[in-house]
Amino acid sequence: MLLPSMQMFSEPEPPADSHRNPILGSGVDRAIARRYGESGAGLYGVTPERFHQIVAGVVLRYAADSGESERVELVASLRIEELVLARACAAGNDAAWNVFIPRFRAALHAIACRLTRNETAGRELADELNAELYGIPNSEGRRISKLDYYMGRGSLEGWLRTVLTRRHIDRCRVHSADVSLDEQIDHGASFAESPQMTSPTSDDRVSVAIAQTLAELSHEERFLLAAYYLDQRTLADIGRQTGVHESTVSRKLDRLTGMLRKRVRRRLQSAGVHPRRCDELLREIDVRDIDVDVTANLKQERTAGTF
Amino acid sequence: MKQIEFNPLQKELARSPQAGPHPDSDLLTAFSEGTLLERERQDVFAHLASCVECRELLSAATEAAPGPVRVPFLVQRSAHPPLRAWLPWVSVAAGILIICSAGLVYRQKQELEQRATIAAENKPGPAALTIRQAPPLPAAQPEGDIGKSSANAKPLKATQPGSGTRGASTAKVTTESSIAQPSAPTQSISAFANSETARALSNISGAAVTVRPHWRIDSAGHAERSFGDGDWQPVLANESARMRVVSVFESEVWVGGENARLYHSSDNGNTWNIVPLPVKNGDEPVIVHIRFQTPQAGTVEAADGTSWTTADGGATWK
Repeated sequence: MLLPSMQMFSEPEPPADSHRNPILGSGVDRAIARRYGESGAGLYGVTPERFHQIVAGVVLRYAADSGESERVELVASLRIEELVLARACAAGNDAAWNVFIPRFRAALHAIACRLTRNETAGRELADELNAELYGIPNSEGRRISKLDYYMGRGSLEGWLRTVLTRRHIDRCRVHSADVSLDEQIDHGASFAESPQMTSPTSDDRVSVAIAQTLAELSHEERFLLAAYYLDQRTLADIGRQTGVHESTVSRKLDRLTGMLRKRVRRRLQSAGVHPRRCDELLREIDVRDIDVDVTANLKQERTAGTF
Repeated sequence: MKQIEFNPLQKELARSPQAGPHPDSDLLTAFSEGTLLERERQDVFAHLASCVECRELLSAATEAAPGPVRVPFLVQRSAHPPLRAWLPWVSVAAGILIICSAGLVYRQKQELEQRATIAAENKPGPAALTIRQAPPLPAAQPEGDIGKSSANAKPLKATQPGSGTRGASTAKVTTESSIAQPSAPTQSISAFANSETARALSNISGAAVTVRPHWRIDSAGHAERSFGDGDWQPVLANESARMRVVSVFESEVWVGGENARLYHSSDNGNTWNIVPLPVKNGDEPVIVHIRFQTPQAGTVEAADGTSWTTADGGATWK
């Protein structure tokens, strides 16, 4: 399900490589030097100085305000071999491309086909990205490769997948914007009234209590609730996204909804709502019984300018 | 059916103000792969909780991850003849595979029987299996650790100084024959309930590795191993805590259960190490999931949601 949003994703600018190595601290410099050997940089003619520049660029991008220990931890967590491979490809190193193409090209095509659910469209999407990975000349004639944006935080294949997905979503959104209102209605799109207009304001105290309770939750808990109740993702989906088993997600959600009900109920009671009325209200908004058309709501939320 | 616009919870969730700029592709990838620093992970959670676009992107990207079956099909479909043309060859290959497998199983079964017969003929006294434990620990221990570990003293556990870990760090549990090692203090224990089988297994110590064992947790919470002959033998017999989960990656076997007990064997269950996990919630949770993506990288999860990850085969956890 793709949402017709006008907001387009864009990659941030790659870090400009300075000609001299930035000062990061001796501990960070040592950590970077330690990783040179395992990076395979020598295979692509990347010198230790150039290697230091590349990694320092990543450190300054993600940990500019952090202490030395966090910077060292960041350096240790980098996918250093893939980072060097990507930068060597971006620099036009043939040996690097000879490694990159057999390793990632087929995977890229498979991901594109899976995203588009169509072989032709998938090939087109993958070819488009391949061209950008190889590099497109800028106004000064210098070839700029998309691989310059890769920072080595996750796997290179994962990064290519995310970039490809971004591109696919952006294309779908552009296409969605091009489709006329009549066509959308012909395809079965319906436009619900704004929830603000139709919501029966049974008791504003419920909304207030929920808002206050949600504000107390951690970011992770809010993400779980949003992914499960708003986006209607499955437990397995959420587990894949967060890297935990789906039964762990299930347990967390159970605990979360139980706690949510308890706190909302307590707030309602302290606001003077009779316990029996509390039960009625909570039954109406039972968070474990949400089986609804989320798309319509999200569309409405967006047109209402919530985000 | 209840309508979305009538649900205040969803309205409040959707109303959250967006937190910070969109994370870039690197951060989202690292987030789903679990390689972000904790601070960054919380920042991404904060953003995702309020940004439906990024949740959608993350979901679509993880869904597009190659699966075990679909990738080769998608990759090969354009380059090769239709699947139908391969069907006769597939049938032939399957037939050969079945015949080979049957022969292999029969041969392994015969070997096991032969070794069991030899073991029965030798028939010495009852097989006493030995557990070799780590050398005694220094007497001086932090007070908090002494109290905790002595209260939970178990035969297979030793305590080690140092706060923040549960129980022993490397109390080595070895399932071996009756010849005790003179250099190490030993404690007699029957790791296998059936001594004949234990002897047979110890006699075929080399073969036990080549025959891939099967694993299960029985109803009493004991980890059990079988070599395909239907005979299930308990391992870690002296462990009183109920085990809940067993996870196997090649010859690496992980067993976890109550009281945050985690055992590891890197030789198909012949020898075991108790693996201490860092204390996170102050109590001793029940381990219910163990997942290893590689022999080095894995996650252990407890019933209360606590999780530990390792990137070095269990040497360190966080």
